[in-house]
Amino acid sequence: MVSLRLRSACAHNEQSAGMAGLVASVIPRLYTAAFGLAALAAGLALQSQSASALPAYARQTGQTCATCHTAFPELTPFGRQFKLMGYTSGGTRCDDGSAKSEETQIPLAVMAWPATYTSYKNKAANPTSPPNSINDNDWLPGQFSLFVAGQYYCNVGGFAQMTYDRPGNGFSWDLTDIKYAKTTTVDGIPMVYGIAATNVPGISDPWNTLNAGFNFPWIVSEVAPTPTAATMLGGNTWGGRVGGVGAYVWVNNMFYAEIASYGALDPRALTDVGVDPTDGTARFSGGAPYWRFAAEKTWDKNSLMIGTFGMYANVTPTNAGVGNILNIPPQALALGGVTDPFLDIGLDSQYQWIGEHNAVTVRATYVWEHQKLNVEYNPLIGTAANPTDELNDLNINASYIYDRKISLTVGYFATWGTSDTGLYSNYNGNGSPNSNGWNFDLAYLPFMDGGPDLWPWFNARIGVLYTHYDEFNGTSGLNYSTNYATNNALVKASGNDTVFFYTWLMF
Amino acid sequence: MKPIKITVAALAIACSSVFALAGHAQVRSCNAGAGAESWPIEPDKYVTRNCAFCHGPGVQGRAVAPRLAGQHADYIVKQIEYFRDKSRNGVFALRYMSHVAVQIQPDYECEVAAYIESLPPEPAADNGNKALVPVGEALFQGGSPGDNIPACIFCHGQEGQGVGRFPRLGGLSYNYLQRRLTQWGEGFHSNAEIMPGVASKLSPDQIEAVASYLSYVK
Amino acid sequence: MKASSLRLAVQAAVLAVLIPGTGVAGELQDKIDYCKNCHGASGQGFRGFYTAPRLAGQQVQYLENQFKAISEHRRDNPIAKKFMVPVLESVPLGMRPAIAKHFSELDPRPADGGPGNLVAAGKKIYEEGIPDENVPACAACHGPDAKGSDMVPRLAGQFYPYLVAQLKGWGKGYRSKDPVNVTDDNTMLPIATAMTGEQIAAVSAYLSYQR
Repeated sequence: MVSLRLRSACAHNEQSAGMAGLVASVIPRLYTAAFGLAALAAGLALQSQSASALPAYARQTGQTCATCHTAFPELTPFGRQFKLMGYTSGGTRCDDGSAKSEETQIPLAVMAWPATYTSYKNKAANPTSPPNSINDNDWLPGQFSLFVAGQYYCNVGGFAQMTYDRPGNGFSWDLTDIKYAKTTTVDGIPMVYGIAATNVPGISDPWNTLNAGFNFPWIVSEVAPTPTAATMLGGNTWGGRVGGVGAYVWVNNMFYAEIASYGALDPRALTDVGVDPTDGTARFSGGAPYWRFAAEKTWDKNSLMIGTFGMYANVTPTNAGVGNILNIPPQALALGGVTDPFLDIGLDSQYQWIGEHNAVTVRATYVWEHQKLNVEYNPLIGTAANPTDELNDLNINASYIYDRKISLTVGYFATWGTSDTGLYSNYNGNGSPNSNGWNFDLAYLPFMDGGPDLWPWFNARIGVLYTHYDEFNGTSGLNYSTNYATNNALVKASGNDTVFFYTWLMF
Repeated sequence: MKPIKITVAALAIACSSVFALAGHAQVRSCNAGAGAESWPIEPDKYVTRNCAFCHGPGVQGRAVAPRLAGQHADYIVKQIEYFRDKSRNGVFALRYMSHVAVQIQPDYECEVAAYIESLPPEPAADNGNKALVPVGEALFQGGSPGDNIPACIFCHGQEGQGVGRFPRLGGLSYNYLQRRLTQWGEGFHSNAEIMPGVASKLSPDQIEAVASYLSYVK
Repeated sequence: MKASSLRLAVQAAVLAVLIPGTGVAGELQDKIDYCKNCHGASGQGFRGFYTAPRLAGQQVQYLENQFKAISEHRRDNPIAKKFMVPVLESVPLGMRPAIAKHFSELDPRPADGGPGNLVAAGKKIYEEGIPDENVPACAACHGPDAKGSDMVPRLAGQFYPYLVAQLKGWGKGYRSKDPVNVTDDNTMLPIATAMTGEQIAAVSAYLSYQR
């Protein structure tokens, strides 16, 4: 899974170097906890006299990946329910009489991308190579992650990922969603309620529509160029840079409501979790509320969800702005109550049909953002040309999965909004934040119905993602590429087209 | 021939087939007291922890997973055995339940099944064809003697409530009933006593009618 | 018999012999299989929500008499009316002897048994009757092996609850007339009504285990 790579939503420094320019990506989850390599021997020794007939009986639910996923990371209604109930289903680590056996389960899993290959359409002739740079057209091992995922104890469970990222900064805390959840009945209506501690706004959501780690594109190159402008929620700006606590309910298997509050990690905390606090990404002051409401109906093989979500944050832009003549740190302004309030309101929908052999899922997500640029518009500090800006993100995609083995996903994405020559500079100077294009992902997943005999919980996704841009950072024509390997070379929008081949293994 | 000696206690076990019937698998009869000395489970918490994420919090059914609430314990136990040995070989059964069933320990399966039977069932009332309900009811009550289709109520009861190893059908989801009846006609789960023979005689219209009727039964 | 119907009968018989599963022979097999849905794969009886009695080893004459009585709405106990009347409407008259013959030749073990502790008392009643209440020995008509003869039914291996229900049924007024001489009282009427509930249970339990 790709570690959280965040884009600064208010990047007035569009030349943001390196890792900050990369889009956060989806991280698949594995609750069928396989043993980590280090725990393998111990795990085998712990397999005691179980009534089970399955070898390597270590998975918490004892089921194959196909129960909860159509093609990981995309979830089925059962996978969504598993997440909503707090990741503890099937767990045996509780003395409340719910354990199905005496077997101990170790909630560890490992993910690896042993081989990835990224190719850009326009290659740089002789790129300057800063240290740790990656040339295009490169084979390179992708990230490696360790998960502590599943039932931790009784009704507490979660998904916690630590990622070692090449090219990168060593280990970092990645997607984390820790829940305490209870199931009850009120007036005959079943209800699940819980609290969650997370580091990504929207990660608690069980549908694959929010850009919080599990949406499409499922996996992206760590070195591909990506557009600069994005809304807070549409671009997962805050993923991994915040900590938050929320509460949620799931009523009658139909209605979902979640409210959370997030606080931005300070630079010391960011360093502790493995994020570079100087990468140009903004922060926000105080608490930022987040909300999410959804209604889903499932009937036989179908399910349909419509929902809304949003977030409000008092953004404090970085003080790397060209206009910050007096070098006033925006955090100081925030103490005086001067920030850039950002409001995101989103709408999303998902329809899914899962047949005996094939599955189809269609998703649409739209985010509208209003930015009140008190700081950025101040001529002494910021660079914005407008006192307020609006920004929109749209992501529409559809997956078809054949026989649980071959997955084809096609998606259209678009970002558009108020032109602001101060915030968004590009080669033709139109100040437009707009980008749009298409993603095509084709993947082979041979083990959704069970892994090889030697390791039944092994799963793999081997595929290729082709990303095509019709417009990139405000123009379809020549523009500065954000691909730092090409280092300010001018390319057309489609010059950022990327082919990304990946091997994504789960143990 | 000497009469078979059977204790009164064993005879007090209602409804279940302790004797093999024409080569079908023997099923343990379930006594609510069984399992008390085995792995100590609390059935309500067990069901919530292990069954609810597919069958719904009250095991009233969700997506393709059918309602279990109110289903007869003997029937549940028998189905668990069918899932274990893969006699129930529909695609969903193999994909989901075959892996589940091997994890249910025989020591406590009767206790879990008895708890599930005690849960009040709710009718699915989902997308059955309401216009066909009278046709389905007539077929369910009387069968179709001219087509050699027996009256369903003979095993499943006047209101489809079932008993012992004969499942409660009233209020199950239309899609689930339709799929099961169709699959028997296609050769799946071929050792399910008389159901393969009966279901394979039903036309698709008859299946639609009787499944629709049953899905609305309270 | 007319020449044409004789010819048809010969043709049907030839077909039935040469090509089983087709035509008349196929229909007969289908109908027998239909009976076995409720009466058991070997005719041993079946207990679903309702109970269908054992037909295996039953006397052909008795079966045919019951078919006729049910069809003519003269067998009036509720389950027979509910299930068997519509069933027999679908069974052509010409097919019935073959069905009866088929079941009469089956010989499975008893499928279920009554309370074992009553068997000894039941055996005594079966073999000696209850002289104090003018109940003759059942064996006198039903045979020492309880297999009956001609129009007297086999009782050996019949379901315990079915036997109890039938014996008690005479007390409730069901089956009060003879199935053949329909104006006469049923032979069993004075016998069954003279027995107590415990005696009925005992003799039924004994019979349910007879092979």
